Amino acid sequence: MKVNFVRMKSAVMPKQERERDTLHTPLLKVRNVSMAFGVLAVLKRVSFSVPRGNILVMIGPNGAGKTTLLKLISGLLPLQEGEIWFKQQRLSRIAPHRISSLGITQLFQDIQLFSNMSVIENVMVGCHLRAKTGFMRSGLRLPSARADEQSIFEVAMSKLSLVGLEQKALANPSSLSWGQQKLVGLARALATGAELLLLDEPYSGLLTDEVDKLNKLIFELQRQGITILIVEHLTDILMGIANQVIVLDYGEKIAEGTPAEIQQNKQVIDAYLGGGSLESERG
Amino acid sequence: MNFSVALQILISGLNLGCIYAALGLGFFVVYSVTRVFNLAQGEFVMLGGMLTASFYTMGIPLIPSILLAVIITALAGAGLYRFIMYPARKSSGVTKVFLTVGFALAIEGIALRVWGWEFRSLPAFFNSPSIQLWEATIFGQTPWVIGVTLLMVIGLFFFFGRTIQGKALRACADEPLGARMMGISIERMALFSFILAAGLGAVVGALITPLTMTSYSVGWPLTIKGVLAAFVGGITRAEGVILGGLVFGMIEAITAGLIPGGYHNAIAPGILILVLLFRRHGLLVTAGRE
Repeated sequence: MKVNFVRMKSAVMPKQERERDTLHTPLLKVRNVSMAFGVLAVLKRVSFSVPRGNILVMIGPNGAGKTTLLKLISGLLPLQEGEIWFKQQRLSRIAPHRISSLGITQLFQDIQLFSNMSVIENVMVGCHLRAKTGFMRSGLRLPSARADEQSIFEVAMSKLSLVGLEQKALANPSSLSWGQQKLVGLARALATGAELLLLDEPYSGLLTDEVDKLNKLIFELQRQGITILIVEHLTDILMGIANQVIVLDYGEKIAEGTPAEIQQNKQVIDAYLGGGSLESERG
Repeated sequence: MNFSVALQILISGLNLGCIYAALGLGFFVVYSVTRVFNLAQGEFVMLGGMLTASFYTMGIPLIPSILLAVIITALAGAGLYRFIMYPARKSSGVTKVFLTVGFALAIEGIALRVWGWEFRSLPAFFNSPSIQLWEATIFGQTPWVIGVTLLMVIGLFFFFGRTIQGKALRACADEPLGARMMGISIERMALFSFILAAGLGAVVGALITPLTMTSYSVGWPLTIKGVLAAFVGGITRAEGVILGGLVFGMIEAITAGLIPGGYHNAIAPGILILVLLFRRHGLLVTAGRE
């Protein structure tokens, strides 16, 4: 019913009103999402919403269900119970590549770069959604296809410049450091034109200066209007960049708020830090 | 061995090598995108040859006959993916291979029903005459086989290497999950790979019919030779497949030239099996790069 209502509304509302409505509606809404692998419940009625342009950080111990939730949003796992809405569209039974074309892209913990391609080719594949030419025109190398390829190359180079790796365009990803590979993965994800980036432990394995660089980049992306959902373990890094923090424990959302609120939340300190404090963990 | 015999063997080897390389490329295209070993590839070659010969016999000029054959065979490739491989996309690799075998047997049965047992042939393309080079004879069709194979190889390298759709196909083979996140439909790419492989197979079928003739039953021997060529060079790299085809063709031509009596049909695969024992990932592929 909800789907019909939203479609009907968008069909009859004047354009300006519709745009205002979009601005005030959260970009992503997760409602009562539950998930179980056999008898093991990994998510229990989790709900939250992410306003457009926010940086939401999701923390929780191992096995809390964070990565599972990301996979449900990106369509890599089928939704068993609950609802996920993106830009007022319900994401249900939609293939991952279609979800990507709607504007959601996930950067995996293990990056999954294409090892048989150069860095620039990896990012160009990210531009696949922008390609206007199909197999036939592409294969026949018609002028429109050549113009399309050139424009894709330029977009890919601009994304590489954004992450500071334009000098490595022709290198093979395997010749780059782990941190640089993560940046290539990020450039590739940005090349899809994503409005919502799902980053699964983007800081893992990074050196201190790489962490600073990634933080600056995330702020820049936020400035450009991209909404970012980060799953991480390293709470001290995240408290500085998050607008909104969600804490999961054994598949349940136990807290939600600003970083300052989360730092003072007794339930979070008990469940996530075992009675310590977020300050002491930093040390 | 005198010079003219050596030259004749070299020309035959090059001719056979191109045929096997082109066959292997059909396997490569499907395998590189879907990781499925399509044992129906030889049937696409058979269909290409039989359809071209049939259309040509009906009075349709050669090029339109080949085009029609390629279109119909490509549709058969699309059918194999859409109605057999796609519903079974979550099955194991072995199951998928057996499904392609089942499809191959079905196509062979249909071909027997439609065309009967008789062999069919075509004249050399545009009635190209044989060429005498020193004392060696180059059949009129041989330059066509070598030239068209070369064009197909260049076209494939260009398509996979330089176009965005080709890169998307390679991405599916390398990291399917990563490719999905880039908005690439793996299923669409897989469908295209089957269509492309079937089309390539049909071209090969039309090319070799003037040299070898064709019948409903030529698919399996061609499949086996294509498989060997692809494995010897390394199925994961196009260069490997081409090299494998050329090596296989040369070995077959040399053994046929030096040991008369049809033993080459056993000797060439035997040597290739020995090669595989020592380079089990193929001539151009190391274990780490597989």
